[in-house]
Amino acid sequence: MPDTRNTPEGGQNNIIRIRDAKAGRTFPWGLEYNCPVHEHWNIVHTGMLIPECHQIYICTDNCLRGVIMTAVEMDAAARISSVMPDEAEIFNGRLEEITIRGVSDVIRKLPKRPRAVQLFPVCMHHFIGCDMRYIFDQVEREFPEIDFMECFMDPIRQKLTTTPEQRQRYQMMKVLAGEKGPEDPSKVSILGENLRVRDSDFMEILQREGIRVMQVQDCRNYDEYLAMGQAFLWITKSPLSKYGLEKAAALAGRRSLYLPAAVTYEEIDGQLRDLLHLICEASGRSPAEAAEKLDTWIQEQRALTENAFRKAREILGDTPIVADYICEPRPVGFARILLEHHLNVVRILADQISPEESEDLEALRNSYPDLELMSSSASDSLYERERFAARYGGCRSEAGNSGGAESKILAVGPKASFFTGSPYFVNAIEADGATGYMGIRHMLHLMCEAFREPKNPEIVTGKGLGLPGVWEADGGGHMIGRAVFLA
Amino acid sequence: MRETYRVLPVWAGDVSGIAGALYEFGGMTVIHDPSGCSSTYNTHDELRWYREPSNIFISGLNMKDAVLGNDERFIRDILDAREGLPSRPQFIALCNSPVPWLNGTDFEAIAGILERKSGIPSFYVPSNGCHDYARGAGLAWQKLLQKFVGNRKTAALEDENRESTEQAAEKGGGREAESDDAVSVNVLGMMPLDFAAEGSVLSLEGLLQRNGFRIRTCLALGDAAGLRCLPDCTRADVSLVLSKAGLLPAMYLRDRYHIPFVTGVPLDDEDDPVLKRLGGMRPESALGETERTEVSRDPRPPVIFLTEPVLGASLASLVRRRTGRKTIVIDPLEADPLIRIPGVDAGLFGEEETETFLAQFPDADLVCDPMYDTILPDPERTRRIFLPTLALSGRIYREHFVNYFERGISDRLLGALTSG
Repeated sequence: MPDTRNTPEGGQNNIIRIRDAKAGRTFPWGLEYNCPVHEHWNIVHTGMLIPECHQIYICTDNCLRGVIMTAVEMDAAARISSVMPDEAEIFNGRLEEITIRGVSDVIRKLPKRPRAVQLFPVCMHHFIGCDMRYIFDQVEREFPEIDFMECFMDPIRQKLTTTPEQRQRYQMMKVLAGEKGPEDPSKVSILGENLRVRDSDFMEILQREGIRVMQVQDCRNYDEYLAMGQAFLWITKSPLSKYGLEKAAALAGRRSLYLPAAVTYEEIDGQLRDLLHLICEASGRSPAEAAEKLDTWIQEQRALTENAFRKAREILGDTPIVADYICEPRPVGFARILLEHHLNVVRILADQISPEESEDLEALRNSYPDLELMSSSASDSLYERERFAARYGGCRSEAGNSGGAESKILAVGPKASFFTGSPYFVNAIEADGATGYMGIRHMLHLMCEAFREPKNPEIVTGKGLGLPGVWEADGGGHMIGRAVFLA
Repeated sequence: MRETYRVLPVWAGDVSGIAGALYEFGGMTVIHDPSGCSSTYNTHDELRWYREPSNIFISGLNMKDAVLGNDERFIRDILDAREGLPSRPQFIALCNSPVPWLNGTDFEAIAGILERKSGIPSFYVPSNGCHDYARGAGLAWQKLLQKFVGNRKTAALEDENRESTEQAAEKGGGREAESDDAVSVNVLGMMPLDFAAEGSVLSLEGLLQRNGFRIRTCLALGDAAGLRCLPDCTRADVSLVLSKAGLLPAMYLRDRYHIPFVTGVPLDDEDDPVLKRLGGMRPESALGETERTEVSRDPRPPVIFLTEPVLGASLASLVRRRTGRKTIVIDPLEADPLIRIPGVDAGLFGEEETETFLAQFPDADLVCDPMYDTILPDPERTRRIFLPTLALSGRIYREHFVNYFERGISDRLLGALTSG
């Protein structure tokens, strides 16, 4: 465990210096605080990406409510159903029976038969030893026309094994292996991404090479989704999707490429060369000529990116920057590249450091040992806003408060905004779908924009950034006619 | 099948009820759960979380500790977290989701250990995530009363009450010192899950004052005096139960301290039966009983109230009294054989039962949360008056939460029923 005695405030369990940090279990486990920032996507949001797919959860009241309300808030209540066994049914060994009967009942009641169903048993199914294979076999037998995705909402396992998100994404990709058809060397599929990939180097390379890129966000129906399996190469950049991508691609006999959000120039270049190699391999072309073109393009990108850093420095100056892992999937690497370009990162928010960031961590430990690393979920973080305000002064989070110039903090990400109280924040998740040189420039642009224009900090309590919400529909636009609100 | 919900959300669960009920008492509430309960609670069932946080934590239970029964870690984590709080919590309350219930965690014993080791009063609120918020909140308040009021001897309690009232009056943070003849009332069952509109407490206070009552204790919204004045509740003349969640503490105060209670939401109406009965201190008077002795011959379709049942019964009473229309009050929360809510006609649990029932009354007027629109066979045929509740539709319709205690609310409801 890291030594937390030398933290800025001393004795807190939520902040350590980067010199004391290690990858993996970065902070000790303890009671957890759940902050009111909910813009990152959860399994409900992710599951909704597949058209004509219905989600069914089998759980007790408390957890069930969370997932249903997630769907209701994104105006997708019609695409989620639930089964709620009672106390006696759980305790008396009837959970398997109720799960099977409940799922069948829900499917029969739906106005239209879904093409696919994501089924989510929960922690208690594991704990009381339900025969999950039996459950899935039974429902598959009853509804052979439906693709069942064997998902789970079992956070009780997430600390010690794969997370529900990882397994759900595998299931979402696994169906592509079933009806994939012949391999198409002119197509690449991007899988396991919540946001549409944009402003990214590898997209540019694929386009230059004449490759058609397919994304789930473009699919209008389930058949179009299944057609993504035809692509000769399956790509993801999400760490949560790597597990699923590699397993599903192996099952389908497709090439796969994991392109995590690279931040150092060498890493970015390496990823692009790997991609180009696979493209040339599939098309039977010699990579030499393509590599030469790529090197030229890389040099241009480097120059553009250095220029963007110069401009950002002019605008941001020494403004303290706090960056979170919701906005930047590689928060340590991102902090590293900002610091190496003389931008004043003072704190990183991350509940743990991925082993993928070990090299960046080592670089920061050597060059910026006093940089702070904060956990958003440690119990002490409940009072972190007050502590931060006391330390940096003035930058409170009252709605509409624009903050004083002397106390201006630039928050990169919604959690960074919440914990600093700063209205000057980049309101983005998952790097806003961007990566590579173009991704760095996109983020620098968002940072400069955020520095100029304050936002209402309380918008971060909304769920699933970027998704449609019922709030935009004027409190439920579907309710019309003879309905009145009393207030 | 009553367990299935095709489209309707479930009502808030017991853990949310517990956390919400104890929110403003200065304690520390720990939910023994892997992850989801806390997020569900603070996202959908709690409006105070962003601006006025409370010491509510989750244990982050993992499979290994659940299987091996590693209660030691749970205890140690709570004690460690307590050290990090800026001030000593007034109590430690424990509650849980299904897995710790399934593995038979002895929470009473854990609470005892925590109390011994920390010197902080600790208690367990029985829960397992399988029940609704009303039960959770009711049990939480009952436990709070048992812990901070019930164990004290009467003489000591009298002294403490006197002292706490004086201190509160001096500091201006408590209820007013006794100086008038107003009937003193314990308000029970007041929480955002049922009464989320801003200003509800102030409006209630005003409504009661205008009618000759004074709030002595409020469980548990907006009571600035908090835990310090809790023992004062034993000196109230009567308890006012505003919601199903308030019934358990009301029964406790009745059984132990002989304080009668009246169930109902008082409305700004000159003939309001709740206010009348509160003045008469008629114990457990059945709201709507009088009106129901005669069968209504009104030819119009009925008005169905599908809301929190105490609220529904109160609104139905108003409609019957002022319009003569037939009313049907449905309790959508789980049945509890110990709890009887006056004025309620039937309990309907789950989506299927509710859908089948509503289909029998296609021409009825419906007073309900907007979520019920999703299960009406033909919503446009039905006049719906929406009363969004945090406990069902969450924060989605927060702009439309109703302050039931403000002036003119009765006329607005009646107007809505006759318009269009």
